[in-house]
Amino acid sequence: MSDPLLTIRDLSIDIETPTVAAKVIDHANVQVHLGETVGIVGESGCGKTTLLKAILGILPKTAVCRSGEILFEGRSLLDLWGTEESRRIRSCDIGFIPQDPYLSLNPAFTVGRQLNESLLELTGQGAYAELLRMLRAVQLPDPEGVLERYPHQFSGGQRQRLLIAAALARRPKLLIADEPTTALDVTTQSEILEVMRELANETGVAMLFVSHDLGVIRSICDRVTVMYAGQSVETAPADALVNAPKHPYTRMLLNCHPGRSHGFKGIPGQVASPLDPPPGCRFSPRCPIAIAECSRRRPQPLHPSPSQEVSCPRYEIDLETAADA
Amino acid sequence: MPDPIIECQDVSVHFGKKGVGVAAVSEVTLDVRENEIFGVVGESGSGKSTLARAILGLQTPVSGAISLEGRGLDPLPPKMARQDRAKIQYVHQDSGAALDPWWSVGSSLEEGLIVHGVRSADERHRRIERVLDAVGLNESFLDRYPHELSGGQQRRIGLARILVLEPQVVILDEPTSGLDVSVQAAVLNLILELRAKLNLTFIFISHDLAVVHKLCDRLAVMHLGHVVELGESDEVFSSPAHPYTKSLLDSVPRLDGPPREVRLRLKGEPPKASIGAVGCSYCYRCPKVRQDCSAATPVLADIGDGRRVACFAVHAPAGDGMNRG
Repeated sequence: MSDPLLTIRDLSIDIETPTVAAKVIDHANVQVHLGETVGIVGESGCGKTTLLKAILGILPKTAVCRSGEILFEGRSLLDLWGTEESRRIRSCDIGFIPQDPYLSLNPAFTVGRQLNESLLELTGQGAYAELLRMLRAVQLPDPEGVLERYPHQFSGGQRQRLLIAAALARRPKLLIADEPTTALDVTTQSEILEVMRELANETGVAMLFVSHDLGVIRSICDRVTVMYAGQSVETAPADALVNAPKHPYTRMLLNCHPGRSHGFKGIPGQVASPLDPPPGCRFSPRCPIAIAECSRRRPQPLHPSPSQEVSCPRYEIDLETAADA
Repeated sequence: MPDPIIECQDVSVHFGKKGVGVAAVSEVTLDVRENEIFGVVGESGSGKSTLARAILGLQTPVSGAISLEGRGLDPLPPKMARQDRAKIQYVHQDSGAALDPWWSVGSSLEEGLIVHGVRSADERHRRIERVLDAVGLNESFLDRYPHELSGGQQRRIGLARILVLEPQVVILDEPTSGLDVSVQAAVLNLILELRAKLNLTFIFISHDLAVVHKLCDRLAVMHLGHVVELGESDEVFSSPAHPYTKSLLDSVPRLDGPPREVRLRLKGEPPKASIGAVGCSYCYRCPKVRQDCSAATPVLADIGDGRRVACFAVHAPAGDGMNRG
């Protein structure tokens, strides 16, 4: 495989409060190769948004990087932080699609004016032609008319298309999408996912796609990293992850899906608090196959197959028999 | 067959005036049977919540009749209607946000009882105690404040708050939205448990089709104010009859089955549901559209086994007289 475009290696981030530090990311690993779509999946509090903010360099000032690095095309984004070069990378090489299309457009300006902001170096005819190209790419009808209109004149799905267009305007190498379809209806969601798939194929842009919905992740991603309470617990090709999950958390999460289980299943207990996380594997207090060792040391990543990585030494043990024993 | 506990006959709710207004609910006819969980699904703007508000009496229908246990609710004088409607209660979408942050859980639970005229404090406490136990919480929660509860616990308190009023019918508006999948199971299992324990009837409004399939006995599919299909949920999900139901089910990202299949997907943005509009609300993007679809509005007609569908193509398949447009 080619060199990775984005590498997050052993990253730990604390958010400091006056009294205590919240350990929101704990030795996380994620990789995105050129042209690849990678999903990050996890529930609330798993650190997925913090991870994106770290890549984009928009963490609050109270955030401290405790370990690890974020490499973009081999260069450390954390070292470049605050420099002109990191501004250039973030404005040109990395595009961002936010979660809520209703909050991310300014209601007081026309769409044309807002999309123009993402094309700073182009003016006049060049910028206009580029805007039209983008609007056609996201399949909005009547692109000329669209530029004159205001955000309230668009539906949620159309607004998300506008934001995708804005994110792709600078032809970035990496597109970061933070739950881009969560605020949309299922039918609109399937249209937006289709647009994103097509654009990824056409432009070859790599994507980091964050979602809590494994069905969505499976429909768009090549590989998936599962996060739990700030730790990356499993990485695998999307189909392998959904069909043959390894980590106990992934297995239990998939069992929560109403179509997968008899009756409704949950995961007992609560997500570990980042203020006082359990030592070792953060899932161990809720894990039915945990042993004393799990809460002593953070498990090292294992490789059941070359494309899979799982941070659990006991991934081969059946959950059901362990629960019965 | 159990008796219907709630019946809606040709209920329409309009906002604004003819020509400029919106027909949020158009001639909806349905019956909810005693002790069942009746699902109402549809995309945003399909009129699910407005229908619920009409059943609650918060929205006056412009035409049609709603009855509870065979007794009409609309012509009653307000005082009597209020007494009858106490038997129908509504749980807000985000119960956490619906709780007053300045009030302890105990005060929030007691408020409804005071409003409904339960004078004896002993009686109030007895009822609260019983309901807290039913929703799986204990008395230690009475002195807590909403911010001290987890998302799942907030939903339980939201449910408990209306259960102390001893309703017969409970309307749940998106009870699991915003909850993690590992937490929602507890809420859904609680609903099943309460139905058995307290002989309750539920109207379950949701856009999560996987949950509706598993939880509901019967369901109605709404599109732009119209019920387009109604039937046993297992049958609607295994063999959807209305073209809209089909595309809605196809839009749901799946965990199992062939991935990324080419599916029949919905195209185009929905039009406004204007008052007095003629024709099927779905004809603008229906794959089976014919000439007669825009000339008249199809009615919800029985196609056997209690399944009702509003579609000309289902009532009289092509070749049966009508030609394809």
